[in-house]
Amino acid sequence: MNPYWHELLSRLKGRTTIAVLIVTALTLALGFSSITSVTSDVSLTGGGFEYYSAGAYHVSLWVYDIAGLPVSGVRIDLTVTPPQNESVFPPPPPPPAIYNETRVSDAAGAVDFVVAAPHSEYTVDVYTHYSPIPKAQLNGVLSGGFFLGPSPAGVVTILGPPVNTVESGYYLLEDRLAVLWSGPNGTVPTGDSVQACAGVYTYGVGPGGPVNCTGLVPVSLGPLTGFVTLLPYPSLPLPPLSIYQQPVLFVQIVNASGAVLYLTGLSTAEGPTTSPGYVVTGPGPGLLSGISFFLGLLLPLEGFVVVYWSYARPRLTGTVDMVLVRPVTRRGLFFVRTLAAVLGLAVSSAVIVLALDLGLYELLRQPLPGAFLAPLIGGLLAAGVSFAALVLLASHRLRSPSAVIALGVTLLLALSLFWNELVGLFEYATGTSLGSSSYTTALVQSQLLAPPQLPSLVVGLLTLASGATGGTPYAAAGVGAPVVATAAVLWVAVPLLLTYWCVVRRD
Amino acid sequence: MLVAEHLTKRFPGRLQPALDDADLELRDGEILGLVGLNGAGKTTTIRVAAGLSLPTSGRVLVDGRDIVREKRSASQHIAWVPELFPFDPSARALPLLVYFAGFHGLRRREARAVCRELLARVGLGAEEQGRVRDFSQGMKKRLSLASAMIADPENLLLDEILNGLDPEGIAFVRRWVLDLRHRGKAVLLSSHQLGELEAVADRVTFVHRGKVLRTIDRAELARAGGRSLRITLRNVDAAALEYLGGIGPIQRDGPVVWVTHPTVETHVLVGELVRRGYEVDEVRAESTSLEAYFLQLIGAAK
Repeated sequence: MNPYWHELLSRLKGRTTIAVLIVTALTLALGFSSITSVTSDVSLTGGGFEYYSAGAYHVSLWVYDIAGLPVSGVRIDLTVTPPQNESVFPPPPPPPAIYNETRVSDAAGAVDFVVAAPHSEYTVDVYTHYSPIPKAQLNGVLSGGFFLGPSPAGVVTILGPPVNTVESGYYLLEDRLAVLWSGPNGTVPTGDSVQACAGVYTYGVGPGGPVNCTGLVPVSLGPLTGFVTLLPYPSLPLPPLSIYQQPVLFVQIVNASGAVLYLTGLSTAEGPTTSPGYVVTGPGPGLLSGISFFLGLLLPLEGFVVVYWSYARPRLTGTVDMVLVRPVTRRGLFFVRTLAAVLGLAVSSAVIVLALDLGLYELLRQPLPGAFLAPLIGGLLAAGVSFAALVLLASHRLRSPSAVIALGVTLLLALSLFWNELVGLFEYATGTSLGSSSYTTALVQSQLLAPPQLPSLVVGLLTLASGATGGTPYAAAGVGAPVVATAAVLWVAVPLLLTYWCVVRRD
Repeated sequence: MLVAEHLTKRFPGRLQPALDDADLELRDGEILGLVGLNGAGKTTTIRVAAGLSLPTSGRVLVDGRDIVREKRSASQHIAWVPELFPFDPSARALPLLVYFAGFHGLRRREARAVCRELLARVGLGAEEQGRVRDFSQGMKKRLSLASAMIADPENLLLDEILNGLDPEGIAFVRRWVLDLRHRGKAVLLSSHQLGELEAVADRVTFVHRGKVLRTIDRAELARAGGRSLRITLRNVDAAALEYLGGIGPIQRDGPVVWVTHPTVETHVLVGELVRRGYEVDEVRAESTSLEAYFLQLIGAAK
């Protein structure tokens, strides 16, 4: 076997692999810990209504996602029990359930239950299963239960949130209104439609203008086609407002003859929310910016450990001499050991990113965007290799392994953990006010000077590319992909070439 | 065969070169002793010759191959045994040798067989899985010798390997190098134990301050030999040295003065020293040793 193949295989079977395994496992543990602490932005919401008729409660539920779209395949366990007598002590054992049924939502997100029971008071417990998204956030009736009371026959009771027939804001990521409505006795509404008009609310004295659409020209938003109807959010010209007034959107449901069946006023503050706050805490750039902090620490640490064991320590303790005296060249040995370190880091970077991607999919059903994968792997690899190359170069100026360890740890702490603090101190000393835009710009630009910051830079660019607000400082600082790529190449190439020169020319 | 031509090695930050235009020739089937004070350049010579250190100028040919330009091919024909065994203390003997054997193109099974046999030959057959850190100094030297013999090279560079060995270990190394010579190998043996070198070396090269002073063979050593007097005086002074210098070349080490080839009889010399008021503790007649020759040589170089 070629001696270099022999050395490469020996390296990959030795401490390099151990370091790769340990750091990869540690990184994944931290990564998964971050993922599991994230609330999914796939929020399942249940709403519905119930009425009593012909000796049975009729319970109809609908399941929506965060965009107000129906979600099929949601399994709902419904358990109905008589109320427990809590006036005695000790309390009696819970009464047996009179109804226990499991049903799955259909394509319209609807689930219907018919509970044959005397007209009385009951407690309903709901247990929701949605296997595709184990961490789906549950709201409304899906998250707990509700109460079935003695309502007069023919009266429809709305169950839990949404408490209003017409909802906006929370359920709307898009410019739409989700209208929940039913016909008499829970039938599908027919001939009903939705209209909207712009009104005014005056602080302190109530509506200062029209209190409904009377006298105004309502805009027709469309007919109701089912229990849940998604309609476009109206864009209406507002009347002139004083500082004591705010606009109100009146939404009314009318029947075929034009009679108003329901009226509600929506504050414009409840209008469509295109960037709800919880999205940035979900998977994607928001999650990655949190993870990139320890990726920027652990991958360089792995690079440091690998080159310390495979190169710096053997060189400084003289153990490499027992290999150099064999039929190998110092150039070849340097190349093979560097290659082994790069391979280890590449495997580690790829496994970490792909495993996190898989974890995101398994836990949240939201994998990272495909276009994120290659830049993330590249950023991690560049951070690990460039830091390793720095240590490699430094080891040629040092006299003992302990000095290399001390320098490596110091550099790691300074360039990774405490980089922002160091830049902050520098900016403070030079008169830049902390928190100002020029400070943020300096912070972003300073990341180009520290190899362990490369993952953060990559995540920043991905955030910028995805349009999220976290990418704004990168655009303001003029740090784009070409700049980051150039910095990564320089950080990898320059220390490696200088070390190569030391190996080939100076030893 | 190993030839070093005009070897110069300068280390950064040091004015004096570690090697200064040194020439050396190591022939097949001979043991060449390398003698010098600490820092004379012995280890540097060996490291450059083994390809571990790059010469500033000059070249080393190992069986005709340049150790720098044709490193891989030259290293097939050379082995190096250092004074201190430099390897990871946690390594185990057999796996370590098998790892080294991989560089010589031996497949794993073949390498294990060869290395087992070598460990048995150096007396470490029962320590195949022993860790280096648990080995005594002598065991490490034996392991080092075994690692050098994996490819059975024609040229061996042994650097101070007698240091730290007990008499049994020294005897083992002596038998080993004599066997190598018997098998036609070229052996460069650097040592401070000049008595051992005198016993086994075919030629001896003296180095001092990076320069090769002289290389002599056994015949020259014998010719250089002769009667010398080892005189111990309690009150040696400049006048005593002047007198002794007048009857032959002298070398002084504290109260002891060696006079090589004295031109007067011993009883006359003692009588004269006593007459001049010197307190003579001992006068012993010796034949010239390698040590005395070396001291005389570097004394002249100073």
